[in-house]
Amino acid sequence: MGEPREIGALSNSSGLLGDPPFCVALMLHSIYAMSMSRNPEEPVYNRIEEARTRLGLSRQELADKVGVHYQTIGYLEREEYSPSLVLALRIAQSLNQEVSELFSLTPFKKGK
Amino acid sequence: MSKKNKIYWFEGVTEKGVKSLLNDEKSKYRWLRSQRNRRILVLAMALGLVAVAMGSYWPTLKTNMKLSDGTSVVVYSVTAIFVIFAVLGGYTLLRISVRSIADAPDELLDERQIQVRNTSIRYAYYAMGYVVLALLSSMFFGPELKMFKPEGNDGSYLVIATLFAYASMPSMVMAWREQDI
Repeated sequence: MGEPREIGALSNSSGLLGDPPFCVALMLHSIYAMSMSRNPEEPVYNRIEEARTRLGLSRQELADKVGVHYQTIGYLEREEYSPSLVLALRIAQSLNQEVSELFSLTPFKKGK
Repeated sequence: MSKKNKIYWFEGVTEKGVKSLLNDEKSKYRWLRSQRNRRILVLAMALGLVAVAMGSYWPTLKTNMKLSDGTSVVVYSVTAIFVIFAVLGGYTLLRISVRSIADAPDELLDERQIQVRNTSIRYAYYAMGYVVLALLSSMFFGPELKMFKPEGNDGSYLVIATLFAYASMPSMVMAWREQDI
């Protein structure tokens, strides 16, 4: 075993942590990742808004029916969030539609 | 009969508290929910944390400012109380601005909110790494740079600032990143 090292001796080490450009690069990368990274997954297209308005439901009412926050319905309608299978099934059930009629991996054609 | 308000000790929230924040569309704090205002709050909070940490450098600052003992005690006490209460207030506002989602347990959130919370906690973990790195660096390098004066300073304000940062980092990350909360 080597001799015990004093804590103060760390400040004289020339490891990566003592390298300012390395630390700055790490920090900038972390800040960039935090600010810029978004959900990169494939979008799920849907017709929730169309079906919801046809039934005369507000976002809040649909949210209460399926047990989510009303903003989650907004995120879904803007296709900024892809629902789990359970949520997709619940939404389809609440809107009296089949899942395949409401959700698709390809954009829906208008008027269909 | 009203249902008992469940307290989540580990998360530091209550069931009623989270539910009321999730449904407070007519709250007087609605102005806090815009991304711009949330980001301003995050920056103010970061400055507050730095100000708390600076308490550890007070003996050095006092010497540099050449204050008399009486004046320095008054300036130190007033500033310390003001800064700590300001940071506590900022922390409270920050939690309101993100509806306590960053601290809430799974059973009070929906699947999207859980995903948002988990992502925020992941980035907060990275950010806390840098805070701790900065803390350790200041402790290792501080004496050499004469930032600490050996007498009457044990770096306790750095620890307090780190605890504040630990508690508020997930909310800060969420407040900064999310468009709508």
